[in-house]
Amino acid sequence: MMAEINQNRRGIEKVFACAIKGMGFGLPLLALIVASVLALLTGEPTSVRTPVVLLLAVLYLMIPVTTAALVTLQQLIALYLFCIPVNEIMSQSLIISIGNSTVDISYDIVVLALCLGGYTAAWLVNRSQLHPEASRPTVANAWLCACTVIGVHMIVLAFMVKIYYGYGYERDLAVLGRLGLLVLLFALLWRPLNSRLSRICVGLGLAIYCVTLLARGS
Amino acid sequence: MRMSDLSTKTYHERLHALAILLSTAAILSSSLHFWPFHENKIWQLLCPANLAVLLWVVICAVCFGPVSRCFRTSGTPDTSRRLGPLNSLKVLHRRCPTDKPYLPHLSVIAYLSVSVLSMAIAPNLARSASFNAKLALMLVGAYALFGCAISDTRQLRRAYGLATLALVTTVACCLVDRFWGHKTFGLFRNAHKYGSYIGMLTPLCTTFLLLGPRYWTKLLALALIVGSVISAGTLGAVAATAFGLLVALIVTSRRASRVSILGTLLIATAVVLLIRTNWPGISWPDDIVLTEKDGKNLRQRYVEWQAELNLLEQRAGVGTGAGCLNEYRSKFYYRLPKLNTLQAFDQNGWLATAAETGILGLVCFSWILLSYSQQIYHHLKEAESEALSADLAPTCVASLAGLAGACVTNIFSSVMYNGVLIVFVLLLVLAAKSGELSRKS
Repeated sequence: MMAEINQNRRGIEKVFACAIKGMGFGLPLLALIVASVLALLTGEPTSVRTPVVLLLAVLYLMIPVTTAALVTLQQLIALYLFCIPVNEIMSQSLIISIGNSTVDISYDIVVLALCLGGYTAAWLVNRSQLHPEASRPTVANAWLCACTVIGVHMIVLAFMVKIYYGYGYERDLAVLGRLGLLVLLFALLWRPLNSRLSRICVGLGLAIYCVTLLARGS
Repeated sequence: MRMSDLSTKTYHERLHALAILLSTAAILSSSLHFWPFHENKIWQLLCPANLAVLLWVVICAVCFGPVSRCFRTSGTPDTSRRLGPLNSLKVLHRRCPTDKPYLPHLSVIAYLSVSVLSMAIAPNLARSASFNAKLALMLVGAYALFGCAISDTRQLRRAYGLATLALVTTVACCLVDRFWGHKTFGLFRNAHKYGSYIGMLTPLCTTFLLLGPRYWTKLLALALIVGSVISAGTLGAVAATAFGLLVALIVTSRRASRVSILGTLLIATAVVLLIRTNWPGISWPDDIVLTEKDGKNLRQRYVEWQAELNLLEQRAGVGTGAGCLNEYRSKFYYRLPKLNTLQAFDQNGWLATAAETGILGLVCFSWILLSYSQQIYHHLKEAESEALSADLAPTCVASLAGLAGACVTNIFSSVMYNGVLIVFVLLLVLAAKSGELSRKS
């Protein structure tokens, strides 16, 4: 009797672990789908002018690679592809009216929340594997360097504009917000993109997006 | 020794000799920039430096392809199999300690990939494709060419010598032009491009000369620093030279070398101040005057900075497409005056990269600089404890100084544009080879 209960418990735990694992993989993918659908539905002119280039990149993502360097390259390309629909919805938001007040929810938040959910699920499954990869610390350092470069330029610019024109740099928070969003996306997606299946899914998602753009003609 | 081995050796030697010849031509002709047809677009693509690299790529791809028999290392001859350019180079470097000495670091390939991907966003596909073609030619073709040519310490020192010769030519032409000519910037005719060129090469070459054992090299270094500073048209070139030499001063471990660098810096400063009081032709102080009329001073630049940063608000993820910054930036000045007199290559290279290829492009560019700098710095530190050979210590420090100079010069103008990019690639190869050869030694 006890053995049967233990077996059932193990079975439930296994199913639960699989579901969590599926969420770790599925939620970032859902984020991509949501971003793509929102980008297509908004009706704004797209910034993608030559989708064929992206389709070629998708083909490259389909190639099975084993060396760490090529995996990193595919991760970066997949991240860039992920950023394309996200960039399309960056400046748009969902406005919900509740009584006399309106609630403004940025689409970025939706995408980030889904990615964060996926990351948390993956962390629940295997806590030890979510630390930054020791083998490639320079990619993370490069993000730090890029953010520092942008930040320092913004500070200098704010001083210069203040001195010579009497007002500070007005768009600083907006630019920093975008930068923060992309840093978070990198932090949340870099580990999932290490899996080949994730990269293929991102590629296929982008391929559907590009084909839709081609079919729509704008 | 078998006949096939003999013929393989002959082809190795020929290919290597050809690489040396073409790299010499490329480095020396880089000092001519686009002279004499500055405005001709075809000449800008097929100028001697680019042509030498293109020739190397074509030779590797076509001429050495069918002669697979000559490159065979074992087994029976197989004339049906073509060796591609990369395999030919791999055979050439089979005795090299690293796996792929002809290929740049992953960060360079990553940057190139992001840049090529950004073509999908570019409003002007032809311009973006042309930009990426030149970028790929240099980042892969020129890297392979210089990588093949620099196979040992002697060739490494020779490359430094050629770079110094190119710098001497450029600075001399500019000085002659500014004293007696059209008051422009010699063969470059543009303060920003000239600034980028000397901003990278002056710290590299002068550090190498200063750390050498002979007195005449130190005197030449002093003359080059003074010549570069008084001929420069932008603050960027001066700041890059000073910062590069400062980095060299910090990283070098020998006291005599530190004294040499510090002494030269002080003497050069004194000489420049002396010349400045007697000759009003020095134009880089005008860079700090902060007027908005001449189209080249600092005030002009930070207006552009704001346009590029504002652009990130809407296009931080993907950018405007490589080489297509000018299509967009005029819409992003907002309240600042639309001066719009700076050319694409005059822009802040860091911000231009971010604006054109998105934050991911800037990350990859930062990764390039970080990876090569870290690599050379670690080699330098490792080698310090093992008494690095006297031949290689100056090259390691000089390449680090050159990279530091490139970082600073990239604030004032871009190092990624045609005509100047070849020098940046040379810096990367010198950094990689200095580290590699120091490890080998």
